[in-house]
Amino acid sequence: MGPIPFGPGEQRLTDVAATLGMQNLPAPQARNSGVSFDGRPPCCGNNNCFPVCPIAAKYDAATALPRIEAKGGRIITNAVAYRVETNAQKKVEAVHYYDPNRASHAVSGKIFVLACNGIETPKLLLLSTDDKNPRGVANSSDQVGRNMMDQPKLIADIEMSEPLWTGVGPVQSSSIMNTSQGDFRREYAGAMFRMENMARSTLGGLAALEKGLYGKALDQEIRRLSACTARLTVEHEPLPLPFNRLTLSDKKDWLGLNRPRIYYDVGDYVRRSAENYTVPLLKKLATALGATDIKISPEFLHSDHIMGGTIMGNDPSDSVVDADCRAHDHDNLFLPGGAAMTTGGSGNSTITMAALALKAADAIVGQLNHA
Amino acid sequence: MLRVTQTRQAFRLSFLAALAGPILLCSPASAEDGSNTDPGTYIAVTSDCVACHTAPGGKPFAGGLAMKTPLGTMYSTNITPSKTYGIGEYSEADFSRAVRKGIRKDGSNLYPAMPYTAYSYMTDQDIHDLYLYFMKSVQPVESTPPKTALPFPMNIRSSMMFWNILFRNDTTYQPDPSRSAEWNRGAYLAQGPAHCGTCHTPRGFLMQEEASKALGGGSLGSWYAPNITSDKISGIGNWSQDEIKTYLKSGHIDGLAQAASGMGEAVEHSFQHLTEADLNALTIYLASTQPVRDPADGNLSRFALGQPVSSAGRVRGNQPIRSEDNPDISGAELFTGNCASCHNYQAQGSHDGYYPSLWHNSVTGASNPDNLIATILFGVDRHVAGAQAFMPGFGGKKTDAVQLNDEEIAKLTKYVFDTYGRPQVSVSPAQVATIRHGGSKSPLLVLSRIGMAGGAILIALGCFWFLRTFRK
Repeated sequence: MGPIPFGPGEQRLTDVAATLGMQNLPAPQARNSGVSFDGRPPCCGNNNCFPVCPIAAKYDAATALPRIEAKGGRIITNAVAYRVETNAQKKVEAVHYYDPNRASHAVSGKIFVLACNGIETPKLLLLSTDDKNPRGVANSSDQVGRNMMDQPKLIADIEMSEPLWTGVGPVQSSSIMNTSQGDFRREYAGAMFRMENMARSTLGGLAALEKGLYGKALDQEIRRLSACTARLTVEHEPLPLPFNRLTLSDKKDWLGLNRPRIYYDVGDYVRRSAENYTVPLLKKLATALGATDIKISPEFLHSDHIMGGTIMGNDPSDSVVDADCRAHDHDNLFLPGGAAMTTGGSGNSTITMAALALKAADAIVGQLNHA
Repeated sequence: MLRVTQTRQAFRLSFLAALAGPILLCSPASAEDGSNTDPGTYIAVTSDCVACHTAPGGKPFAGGLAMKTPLGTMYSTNITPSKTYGIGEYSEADFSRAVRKGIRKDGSNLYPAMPYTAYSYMTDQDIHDLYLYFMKSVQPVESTPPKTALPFPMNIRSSMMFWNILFRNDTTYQPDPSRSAEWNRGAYLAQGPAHCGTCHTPRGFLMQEEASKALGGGSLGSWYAPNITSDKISGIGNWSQDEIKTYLKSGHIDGLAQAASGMGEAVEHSFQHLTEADLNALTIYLASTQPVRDPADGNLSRFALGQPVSSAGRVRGNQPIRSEDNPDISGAELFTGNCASCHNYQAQGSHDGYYPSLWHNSVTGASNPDNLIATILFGVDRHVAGAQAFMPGFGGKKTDAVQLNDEEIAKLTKYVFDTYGRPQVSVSPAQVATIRHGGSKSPLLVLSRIGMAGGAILIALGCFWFLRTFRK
């Protein structure tokens, strides 16, 4: 499968960014391009990719559910896992869950996988304390819940004098990654830059209405804003810091389970990057695009790329899982996904999470075959 | 007791879409238009042996394609030149007998799932070239596919002898001197190697092609091969010759029709590789067939019905998110949620016709709902001229990303017919279930068993009477 062709806005961004030494390249997003794959069609440019592709051209985990059932797997809905139970041999023996009536049930098995992403996986492990696991399951290293990361984000909303026309093709189809590397990383964070390729008509329409326009003037302004506005995004690389941490709050949810409490500071490494590197570069890029107005977000925003919490490492004293996402403490427990990521990088993390899941799956199959 | 069987096309598993990928790479014809291909390869492509004799993901001609028939599942055989598992020991005479008379080397009968009734028209020269192709150009594959085992009494192959007496043709194609050479070439191709009637001709009670209704439309498991006679209402009588030829070569025409399942494969593996001359000949023949009218069509042709209409305005904002959980979901909501993202809100398709419009479309204009139901269930997967036409299935496979149930598909199909095609085509969830599971079963199996039981009882009574009468 080849890359999806750039729309006019993306192409213009690519050409302009190149003059600043920034390379805008197609970004992989598990999206079928040009031909079908695995029974799913290729992208047809709905420009409506998040949260899920309307035609399943972009992979999402829900497409795996019918496959699981076709192979005899059982999917239990409306079930909230609340405790992982281990036995004297340090193996996980059962996971307990509540149904909507708060009745408790247990599931047993040979191998257990917690794939609840970067907040719920560490939380569930921390909830599972008993005399065998005083700090929670899989936590002899005391690293469960630590090193929480996201990619702190800044955006620049720009208005230009000339049309750019985003909205042709996927919502995020390309990004600039060569800005994430360099010797400067000794001192401050690298970052990914990209232009959002979402169609601007919704935002343009709302903004035009706010101006109190109607009739032909409204139409023209909607068209102008759809064509001549854009959003540039920069996502910074976080450092894994042990004090950026998830613990259990005293507050409980309706099932009586502790809510997560998270201490998170983006850190000076990222703040120095914004001050010295990414914000000046963002302004340069916007200016090069012909922006007549640039609004940069005053605070860092979240990227929804939750990483860390049960980080991967070779040494069980300072990591939670091994290279196959297998818990050091319990060899029949796997924790794939964002929580296993030890460093954050600045590229979108979901494909890495999927890759870790595939890697863990291979290890699980191997482990079952050699049992 | 006559044992009758369906032809191979009736068993086309709707999942045959999966055939496309690996088979395309191994497709025998090398030239785009067939003009530089050796005669053996060319006749193999014209006869489309590869489509049935190759399993999804399997080696070419090694057999194993499962075909669901009204009488049970059949498997195609290994026809590679393997001496142990294929036809490696066949002489040319053996080969000719199998292909043209339906009799294997060991003397047993083939079921007419193998369309020997059509191939019986093939010339000695073509059979010779085809034989050499299989012996010299096909890789032997040393494996045996599953064996066909139809339920009793259909597993008694020798009763095919009686069926053949009634229904098999025993002479090669005889040219009609009152017609042009080109017409005769087209007739030969259509009746012989391209075996159009195998799918497109309706079948009688004993599963024989009904000659009086040749090309008038035939049922194939989940799908329906439509009427392609020259009738102006029920057939393709209003198509120009250019359109017929383009359709054979490309598998679709905007605002008219598109090919899926068996015909999609036929275009992919066979028709797109034929020479211009042969396509012209076929076109001339197809334009000249006896018209066959289906009264169910009334006075409406299936090709020009429907109009662009959008229900989005009355559907949006009415339901909360997760309306697929709603048992009262309407056809319009199902359409907006599942179809409009590609086929567009007025069902006008895409500008370039990659996604066809659903109005002015033979599938939604048909009086027979089978193809619309089957398309929604099983999708389309057709590779022509290096490009893929693809539509996912919506529950025909257990692994499809979206699983629509029988009620939902019945509602959706009804909505599409009413809004974009032929109104008042009736569609029930039971019909959808039948199509989902491979089409109607033939009553023959049950009837033959009842018949045999009845016969056995008569014989027992006869013996009893005889003993009573003559033992005194």
